[in-house]
Amino acid sequence: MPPLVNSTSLELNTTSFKQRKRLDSRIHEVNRVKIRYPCKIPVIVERSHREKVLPSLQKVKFLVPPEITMGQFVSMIRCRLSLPPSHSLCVMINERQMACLSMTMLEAYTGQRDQDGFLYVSYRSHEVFG
Amino acid sequence: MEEEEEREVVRVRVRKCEGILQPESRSFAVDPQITSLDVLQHILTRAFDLSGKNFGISYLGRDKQGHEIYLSLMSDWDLGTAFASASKPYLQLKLDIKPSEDSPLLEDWDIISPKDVIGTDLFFVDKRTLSAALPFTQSILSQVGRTISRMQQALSWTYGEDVKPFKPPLSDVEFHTFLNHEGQLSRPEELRLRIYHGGVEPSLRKVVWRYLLNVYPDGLTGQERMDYMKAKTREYYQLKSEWRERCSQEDLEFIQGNVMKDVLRTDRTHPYFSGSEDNPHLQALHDLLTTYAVTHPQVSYCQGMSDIASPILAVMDNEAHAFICFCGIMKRLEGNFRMDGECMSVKFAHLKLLLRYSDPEFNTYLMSRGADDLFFCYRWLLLELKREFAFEDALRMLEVMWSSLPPDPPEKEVELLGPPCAPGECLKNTRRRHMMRPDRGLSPEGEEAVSTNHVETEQEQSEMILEKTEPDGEQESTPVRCPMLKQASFGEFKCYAANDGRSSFDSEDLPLIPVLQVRQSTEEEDEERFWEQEPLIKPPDSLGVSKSMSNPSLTSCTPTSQSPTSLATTDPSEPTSAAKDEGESQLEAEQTAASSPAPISLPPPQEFGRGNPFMLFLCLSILLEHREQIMKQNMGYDELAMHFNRLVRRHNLNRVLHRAKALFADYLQSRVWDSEEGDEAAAESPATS
Repeated sequence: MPPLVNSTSLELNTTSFKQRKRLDSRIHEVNRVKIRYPCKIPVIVERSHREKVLPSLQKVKFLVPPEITMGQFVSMIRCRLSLPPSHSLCVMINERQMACLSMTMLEAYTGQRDQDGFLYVSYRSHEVFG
Repeated sequence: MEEEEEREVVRVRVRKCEGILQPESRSFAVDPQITSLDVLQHILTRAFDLSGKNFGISYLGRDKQGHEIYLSLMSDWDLGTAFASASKPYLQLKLDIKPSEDSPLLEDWDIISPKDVIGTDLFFVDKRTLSAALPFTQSILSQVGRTISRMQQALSWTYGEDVKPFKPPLSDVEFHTFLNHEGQLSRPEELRLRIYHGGVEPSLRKVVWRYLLNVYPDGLTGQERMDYMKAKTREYYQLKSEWRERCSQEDLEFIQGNVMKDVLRTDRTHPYFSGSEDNPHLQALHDLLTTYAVTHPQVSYCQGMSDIASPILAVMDNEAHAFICFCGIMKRLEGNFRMDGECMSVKFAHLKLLLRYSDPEFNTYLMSRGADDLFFCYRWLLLELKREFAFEDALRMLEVMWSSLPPDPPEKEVELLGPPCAPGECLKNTRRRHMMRPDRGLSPEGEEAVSTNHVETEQEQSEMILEKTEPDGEQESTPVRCPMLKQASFGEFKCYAANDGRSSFDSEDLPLIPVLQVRQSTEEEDEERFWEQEPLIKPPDSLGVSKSMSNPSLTSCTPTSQSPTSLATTDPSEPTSAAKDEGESQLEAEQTAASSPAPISLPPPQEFGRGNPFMLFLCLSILLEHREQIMKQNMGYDELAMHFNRLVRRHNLNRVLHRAKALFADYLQSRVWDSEEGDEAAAESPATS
């Protein structure tokens, strides 16, 4: 298995987190991190596979406080990506559902989390209204 | 008070235990107010060179039976308890280095704490990513030299390199990387460069602003800084108790009255100063300004100082500390508030020069409207744009602007006491100042008139004559005759609205009289002088006339002095036509008088804008932001002034900063000042003539 710690953006481009790790190791990872940070939500944030313009994130695994809203989380992603305010950013949960920005992370997590215990979030440029 | 002082510093001793290795010890001191667990971990990591290692912290406390026992330190709450209960005489910490097997687990996690989300408005930062990005920043910074010019080179250079518009604000953890193990600020230039690019986190301003305002002498350790601030605080309260000895009862009441008038309307919408008039912060602002006025008789109090002091007080939240910082900033700004107005006129001259240099087309437009005197920028220059942005934005703008200046730490300590007045001058000076802001710098006769008028003023002072028939006497009498106009601060329309009930400044077709009053309020005393005198076209003193004939840069005199007349006689709905005619005639005059079409060059940065070049670029950016709108709507002089007055506290900081930084970078890179023309341009200004 390739080292995942310092995975370059190139690797991230090609394969998604789910493809890189088997289910049992993902579950193991969630469990380990939940022992250390019982009050945080493990979230995977990745670039949508169709996205060509936006950069990739340096780290894809996030530990997020449950009480912040999706909107705050999205602006944090914007900050990580150093997006200028003019650039649109669309955030999807599980690659198919638009994130409701007023929802808290806990609500999103309880409703949408994957069987491995992560919440999967992907982002891309806004194609519809742009 | 006693308790508070003790808690300003906590000594910490740390023992590091790692397996079978010999334990190591370190000791240092921290400020419990600003030290969070994050910060502590960071300090420890650096102290023992633990980067990448996993460690647990515990502190020596007492259990219920009173036995000494090591308690683990897991959260900020634990740390607070440790500071409160176990920090005397020092806090004993123990570090247990854990085997590093599971540390890689967390390295690829981006851990977000609620604090990262709340508190910062635009840029949400994770400290981990910040410290990860740090080596990169430092590698850029390491190429920066120590001298001023090289620092300025870096400002422009890193800007060009940096694709991102701004970095996230400076955080606590990152700030500590600028301090060495003894708490000395080791890289002041780089700290400023960092702040220039991203500002400071609001919670950290209290600490960092003191560096930016040149309060600390070079090389103080953490403990020395605290002692220094304590000593200075004592000095301040000493000075505050000496008001009466330093100043006559009459003068003191006079100063206090003026200060109070301004304090009661400075940033009152901000929570820190809001509420009823017995808000203690208002008293603090009043006291510190009064102390300044009493201890600096040559400068005394002048309208606008409250605007300089209020953000500092709100950030420091401590009257004495705010006063110390205020003295730090006033060392640079006191020229703005001096009677002679020489400093302001230099700044005006430089702003005009800059506008002419960077946007000749817009400059020509303004000239055609007779607005190239840029009087509507008076407040910008006087208060360094503090009032042009909303309060929080202004804080960010101020720290960015301050960090664009080279560090200028005091040699030994900040002087809290200004030089005394010449004997006999004191009382007159205070009296004569009244509520007036420095006037000459913006007299329509142009900058050159300054020196001559100033001489007159001094002569008058020495003769102790206050004759109303003389031009200067005229000025003195103005406040007596129309106190309302005098007290209205520049551009603060609410005074007018409250006084005469005509508050329709925002509407398109303005009634005639408010228009004229707006002009008066924005144009200062000299403008009013035209109103007092019958022959409106003729400049008030013959000196000004001869000057304006001889010097091309003075041609703006005629149209500005005339435009009120034309406004008063024509329908307000078509004010531009009259202005236009005059603008054209003035333009011709300008063209014929212009001696040579040689390319303009700008003064070097240490002289430009009286040592604050970046502020000029901020002004320029604001002008350029509105350039299109102004030209499209074909705004005349008054509309321009009103347009910008409406925008008080409303400018878009990010856009302005962005543009200003780009322009500033261009300026620094182009090195236009290296040429001889640069020196000539600087020599044109009255400061050097």
